[in-house]
Amino acid sequence: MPGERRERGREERRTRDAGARGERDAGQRGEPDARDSSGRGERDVGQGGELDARDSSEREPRATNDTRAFLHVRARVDGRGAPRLDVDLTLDDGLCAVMGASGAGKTTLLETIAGLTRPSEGHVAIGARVVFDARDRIFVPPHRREVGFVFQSLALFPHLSVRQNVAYGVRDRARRRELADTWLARTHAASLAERRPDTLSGGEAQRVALARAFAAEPKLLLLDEPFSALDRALRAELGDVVRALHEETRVPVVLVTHHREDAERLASRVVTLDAGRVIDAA
Amino acid sequence: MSSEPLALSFQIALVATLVAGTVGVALAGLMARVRFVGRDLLDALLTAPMVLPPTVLGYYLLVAIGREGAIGRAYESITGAPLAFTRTAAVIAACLTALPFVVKSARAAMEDVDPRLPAAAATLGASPLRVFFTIVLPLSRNGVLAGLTLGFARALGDFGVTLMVAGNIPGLTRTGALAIYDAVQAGRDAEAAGLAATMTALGVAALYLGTKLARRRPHAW
Repeated sequence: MPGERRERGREERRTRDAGARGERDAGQRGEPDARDSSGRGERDVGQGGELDARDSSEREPRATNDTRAFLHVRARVDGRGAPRLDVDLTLDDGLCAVMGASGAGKTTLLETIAGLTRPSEGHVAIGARVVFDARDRIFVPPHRREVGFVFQSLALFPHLSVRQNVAYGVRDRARRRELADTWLARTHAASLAERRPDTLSGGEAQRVALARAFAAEPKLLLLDEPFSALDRALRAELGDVVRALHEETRVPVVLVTHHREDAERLASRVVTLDAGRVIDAA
Repeated sequence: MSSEPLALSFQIALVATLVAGTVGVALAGLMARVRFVGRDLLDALLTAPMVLPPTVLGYYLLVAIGREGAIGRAYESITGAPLAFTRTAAVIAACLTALPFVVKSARAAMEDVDPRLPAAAATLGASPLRVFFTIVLPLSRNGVLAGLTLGFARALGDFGVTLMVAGNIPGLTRTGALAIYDAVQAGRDAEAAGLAATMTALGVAALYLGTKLARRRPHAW
């Protein structure tokens, strides 16, 4: 929908209220998924900061309801005895936080969305695209889902330099290096490009992992407690980086955290899991 | 003492290691990265040459590549010459003995790779094949190299399988191991001792190298 492209606004676009859930089904066909129709090559990230606003389609600013349902997960993942995950959840295309004690199913939820875990039952739709459906035997493998994933352990490739790590997922092969450097600059990690992951501090590795995830231009980004090992000041700083990149790229983000203050400060919506079930989806 | 059997051993073992290395790494990757029915059975079958008597292995191989065997007949119809009792047969024999070492070592190294790394690569859009060649294989490189050297050492020393399917033809399939047997039978003790010492040195050197490679820091390049 090139004609409806909007300039990226500086105003706070995500309101705290994200009541869109439930109103619109993420899998609904009526509205084309703008991200699918905008060519990848057109999204220029080389202009330092001035990222082309992702087409927000005909989204009119609604005073209290600026986000739309984007991700629908209905899934049961079996565990020993009780299911590890048993949810029916719709998230909007803003920045959502998932909270819960360890073992509550937070990581399993993210793995289900990314295709790293295959539920025994359910349906997962990202935007208008069904990526999993048990009954229709649909399972889109992780490398075709365009879902970014930042692991708690970060999972930087130890045999590659920082720049090579970030370049790994860049789709425009001719500009791999250039785009990798651009993304490193955006996470304030430009000076680390030549380093090896094992020489990075915790905060530096986080920046690289974020740059790598964004550089692959995902349609949805999942962050699995990426800041848990950091002190409060660094967590706040990196949280701001995540939010800035989210606002700039409009990539929906699901952030798993066990810090309530992070969740409330960054996210427009907080979902709480316990024993694999949603207990609070305020 | 003629150096010809040793050169032949070396040559056969080298070619066999290249072939077994390619096939073995592919099989190891398949077993380490893909879950399929019969995976452990395949592993057992591929490992069996380590423990079976070489004559058993040689017998099966002879059945397959002999003039009446399916592979032997196909080979003969293409090339016009039989496969058994040729240098190619000796290479096949050496391959089969080397393969389990490559597969075992490579698979273990590949399964040692932090599973989150290939998962992360997949979420960055990398296909399974790209993940294998850019993440799994480089990170299991030391184990793969260790398996190759072990396989090479084993191929170098094969006696039984080679004798069964390739015979003991001077200049063609008489490898170092077979030449030692001949020398002892013929009472040429000095020659046997020389060959034995050289083969020992080669084998120990390969094993030493293999251990060194396996112990290196996983991602030191």
